[in-house]
Amino acid sequence: MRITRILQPILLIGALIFSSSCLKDEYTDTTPKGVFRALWKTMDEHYCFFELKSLDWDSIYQVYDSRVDNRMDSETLFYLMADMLSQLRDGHVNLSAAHDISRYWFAGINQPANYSGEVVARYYLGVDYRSAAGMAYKILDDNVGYIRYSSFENGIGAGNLSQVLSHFSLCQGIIIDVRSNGGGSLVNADILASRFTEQPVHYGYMMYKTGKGHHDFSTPTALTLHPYSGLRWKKPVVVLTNRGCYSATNSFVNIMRQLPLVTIMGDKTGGGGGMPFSSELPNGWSIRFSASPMTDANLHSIEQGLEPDIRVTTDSLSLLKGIDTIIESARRHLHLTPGSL
Amino acid sequence: MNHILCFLLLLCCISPTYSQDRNPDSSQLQINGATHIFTLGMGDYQQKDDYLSPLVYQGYQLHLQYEGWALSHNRSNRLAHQWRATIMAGNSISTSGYSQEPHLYIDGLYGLYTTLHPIRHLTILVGGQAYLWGGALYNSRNTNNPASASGSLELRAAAAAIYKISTKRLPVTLSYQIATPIAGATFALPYGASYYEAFMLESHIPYVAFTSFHNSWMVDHQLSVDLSFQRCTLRLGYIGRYRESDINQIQTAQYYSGFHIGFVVHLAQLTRKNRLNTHANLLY
Repeated sequence: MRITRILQPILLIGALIFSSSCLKDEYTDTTPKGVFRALWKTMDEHYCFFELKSLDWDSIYQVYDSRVDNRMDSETLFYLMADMLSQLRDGHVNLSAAHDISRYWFAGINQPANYSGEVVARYYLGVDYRSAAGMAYKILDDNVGYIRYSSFENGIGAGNLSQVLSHFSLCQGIIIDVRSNGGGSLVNADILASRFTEQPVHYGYMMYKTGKGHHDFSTPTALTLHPYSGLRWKKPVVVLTNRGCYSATNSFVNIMRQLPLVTIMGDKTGGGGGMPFSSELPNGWSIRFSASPMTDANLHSIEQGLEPDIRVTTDSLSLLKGIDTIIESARRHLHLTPGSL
Repeated sequence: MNHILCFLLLLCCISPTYSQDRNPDSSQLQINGATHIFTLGMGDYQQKDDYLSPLVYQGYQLHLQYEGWALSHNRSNRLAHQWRATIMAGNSISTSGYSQEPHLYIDGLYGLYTTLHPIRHLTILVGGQAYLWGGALYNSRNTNNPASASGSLELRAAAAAIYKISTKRLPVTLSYQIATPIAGATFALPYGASYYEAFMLESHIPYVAFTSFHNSWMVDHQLSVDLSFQRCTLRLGYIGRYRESDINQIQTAQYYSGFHIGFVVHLAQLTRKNRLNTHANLLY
């Protein structure tokens, strides 16, 4: 009897132990139908641009769900879902599997590139350029500074940037070439832009989703650029853009166009005004999507790109001669622009 | 062995100590002795965090725990004091097998209990705990939401039962503890907010939420067997910690079931009369 009185609570505790140790997984349907519906639901609850792009996501579900068959192989399913995602017309939406990553090349694929890496490397940077913090930079022969920054994924150190600007201290102005820069870190965009302003500048807003509904957004948070406390550039700047300027580059252009001595030159940017998040599907495929929309200072979305101040394009004949007409236009503009603040 | 003993004594020095009794007959609190318990364990770990992924991740967790107990009494009652710190780290893999989520958590608590003795050799403790917990989870595949931080301060209802089986050869102590939060505050980002917006911008995103049974529950329990050998007391036990929350439409869950092994150290304090307390007077 005494032993029973001891054993009974132990057995009850054991039941508590083993009955409470299993976490229910509600996301286990790995059939093509299950994966498709998980993808649709993830986008339905998290994607932030349905209203901006006038998309009827429910109708899209009806169209594509009827095409999904549980007998289809994974590659067929992948490309069917990629086709569905392309309806969003968003370069920040990617479905990743072991064999491929879906992507939307936006309208830029049918537009002039307005950039030739080979021409820039051979005829402008040459072999005597300097390199720091992901930037290739050089003083051109007309005393104009040229910076080629190809990715905002490259971290920018304060010391590096100060050295670059110091190197250009006697220059008429600076060209910052961010053409075909696909983006990276917003923090790097802020770091670079902060060298070109003398006072705080309000340049836009950012929101986040507060719920699963298509219209559930937070109050916009004001985005402000603060001047760097150390060395800053006070002379004219030209930022070169094309359709390949996306995501953080698009945000950088949005910041820079607010600054008084900065001119945006080239082609319209590619857009990408939604900070992307990631999630996962039951079969292990990864999905990336725009989650936090950003706007300019007038609450206009920057998702679909920004027009330049001066539209200039390259032409194939000039490129064959080693002449980048956008860079040349920027150089002329800097020589004609009044000096520093 | 001497090095190990010195290390343990150094660790014991960081535990709370109380003033010596100046007058054994006064109403001031007296400490009969402190028990320090060091355990190392591992076990099965399951987790889910909708901020990173809707899938359940399964894996393992290791934990290192220090726990201390002491009794104090005045004329009216006997109180048991508990303090505990745990470091937990592990890794888990998604049900699809394609991604991993390592994690690291630490917690600490202070508990105060009233003691009851319904039958001989059985001590029942009933009381509460102040509990602090924090850490982070990381998913290497994600982009702007690669990590999910956790942190909470809770008031918990707690109870314990300690049963001593005294034999000539091998005294055994069975104990069971259980605690559950009643109310607290936790770090909780809104549904779709990013850490960039919350902490890098001049935003006013609310990231503290009140927790109670309506949006969060947790059970923290341990079952232990202490075997008192001639020179040391060995502890074997099971530890279970289960937590779920649904805050700001983000569901999280952590389920840990593990076993641990360690040892129990009794550090009896000398009273003014230079009398050592016997093992029977200690809680463990």
